Amino acid sequence: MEPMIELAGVTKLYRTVLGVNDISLQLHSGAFGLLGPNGSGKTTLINLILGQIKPTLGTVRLFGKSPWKNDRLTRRIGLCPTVEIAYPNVSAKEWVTFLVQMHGFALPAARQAACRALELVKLDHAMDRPIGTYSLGMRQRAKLAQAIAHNPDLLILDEPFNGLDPVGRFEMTEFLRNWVHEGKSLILASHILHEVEAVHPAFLLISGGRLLASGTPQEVRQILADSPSEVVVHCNQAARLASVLCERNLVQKLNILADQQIRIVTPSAAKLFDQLPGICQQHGIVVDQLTSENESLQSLFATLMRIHRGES
Amino acid sequence: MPVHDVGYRAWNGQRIASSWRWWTISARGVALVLKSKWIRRMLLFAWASVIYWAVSFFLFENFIETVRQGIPGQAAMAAMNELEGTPMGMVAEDEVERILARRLEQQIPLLRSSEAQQLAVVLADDDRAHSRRVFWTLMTLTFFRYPQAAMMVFLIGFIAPSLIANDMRSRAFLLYFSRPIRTSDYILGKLGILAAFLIWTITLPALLLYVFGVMLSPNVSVVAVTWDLPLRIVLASVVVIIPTSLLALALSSLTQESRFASFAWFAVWGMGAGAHLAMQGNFLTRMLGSRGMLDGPILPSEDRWAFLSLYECLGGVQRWVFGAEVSNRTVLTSAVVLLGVTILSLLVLNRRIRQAVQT
Repeated sequence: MEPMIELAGVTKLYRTVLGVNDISLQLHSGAFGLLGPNGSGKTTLINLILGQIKPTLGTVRLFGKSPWKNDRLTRRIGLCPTVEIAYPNVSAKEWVTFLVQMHGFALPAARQAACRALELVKLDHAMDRPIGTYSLGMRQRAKLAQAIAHNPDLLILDEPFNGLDPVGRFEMTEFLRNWVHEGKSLILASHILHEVEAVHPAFLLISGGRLLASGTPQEVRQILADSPSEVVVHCNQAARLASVLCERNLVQKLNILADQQIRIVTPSAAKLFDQLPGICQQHGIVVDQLTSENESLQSLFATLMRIHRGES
Repeated sequence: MPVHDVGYRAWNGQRIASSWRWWTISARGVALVLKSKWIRRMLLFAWASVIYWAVSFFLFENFIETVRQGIPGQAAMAAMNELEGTPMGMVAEDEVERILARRLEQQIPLLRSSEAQQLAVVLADDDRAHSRRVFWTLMTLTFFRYPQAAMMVFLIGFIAPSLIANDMRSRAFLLYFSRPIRTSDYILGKLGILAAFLIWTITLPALLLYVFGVMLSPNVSVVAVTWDLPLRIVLASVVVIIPTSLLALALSSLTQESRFASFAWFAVWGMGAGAHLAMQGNFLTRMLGSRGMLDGPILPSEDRWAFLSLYECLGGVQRWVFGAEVSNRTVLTSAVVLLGVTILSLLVLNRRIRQAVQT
């Protein structure tokens, strides 16, 4: 099956600044979370996929064709970038209609498509009001409406949860789940892991312009489990547990903290978690709390960078 | 078949041709600008001068009909009336022209001295068709050069600065160019917005002025003499619209703050006019010094400092378009400057937009 997106050895240089560095990947239709810290190259990667910029090296294929200066392909894509809406005195209906017209729709058809899209994002009640009177969440929904109004096959969202309140986040997540459920494709760029995870996509982890890892959430978690990570255990016999773990060679570094807590740096979290119940049972240790501090995206990337540099 | 091909249902409705995508940007842009009350007022005001100018056409047509009545030598005879019985043969030709010029100035307030003198020379020769042609050309040119040019500078100064600067600030290019829109479509679309307002402010009032002039003329034969004037109006409008609009857009693309673009726009006109005035004044002073006295206009069609001012450059080429007196050197210099402004503006626009998209 032909991949939806195919990048082969793609590098993008902005003069002496490296935007993306030698990325090769093949994505078939589906949902993908493009995760990376700020400045990691997410937007550059999106622009390369959209054909808005040309790679310095390598080739990009979208739906089997080069997206560079390919008008026909842009019809199949809906982009919701992290831009502000610059026209506060224009209504969402007018704004979305205008952007749909740019796809070549005649005015009545564009207006109809705009209304339908605004209804889908639940903004139909306010679509005749000037955008300047909207809340941040409403603007985000208007931006989403312009991306989906022409019924694209691939929806690309850059930080769509920015500025949304919990209800807005939930509604956005639900909308994106439905989108994927309808068999359409999605690329969701974000730097917040749990927001992306809620849509159940496959992950593309990018940092420093490099694709560090890709796969399902389970696969990413497996990477974490198999790599050195930090665990804090709160138990009734901290010193005893520390001693046993050292005997079994399960720790790289260990700190006994106050209040019966120990911080463990383990070479393999998976191995530790596998043996910990047996140890507790054997030595009568009661574990009250076990937390991994590597849940944040930042530490995930730190881990992946270590793997990437061959330090693990 | 790939899953995404099954899921995607392409739009089956009619699409407008891709070569007309710029029209969408222009049409929406015009609608957006028209939301401003001040702009709407300015657009109405731009048409007010038509009535005032049309009256001049009426006065002139009456002047040549009543004073000359088509009889050879009548102009000179009419001029003679002012000299209280002085026999015809004793009046110098330049005296007749002087009197005619004075009467023209009295009857047609919009006519400046130099133009009245130019017209009087033709009238004294009793060439009715030629005199009409000269007058209509002069009046239309003056209409272009003064009220409408001022209106153009102010109108573009209000509209253009935000056209691209706002998109730069909000990074709206990502939205534009994720659609089947090229950089050229974008530039053409924005140019279309300004062109629409300039056509409304310059071309249409000038054409209406021509129609009014014909309607107010006692003799319809004026059409036979001035039939090419509408074409010259259109051409002169193109001369104004392309370089000025592109310059305004280029200035807008150089900043994310529209007020800076606005300041730069007015500075281009103000400083250019100031520099031209200073240099041309200095030149005239030196010419006067070498001659000792000014016994007539010094090279009226020659403006060697026109290249300093966009306004004078437009004037040089417009004079040539309308067939008014102007030196070839001035026309050539002005045309080169306008062409340079156009090309430079296009290069700046193209570069700035591409930069904005790619960063």
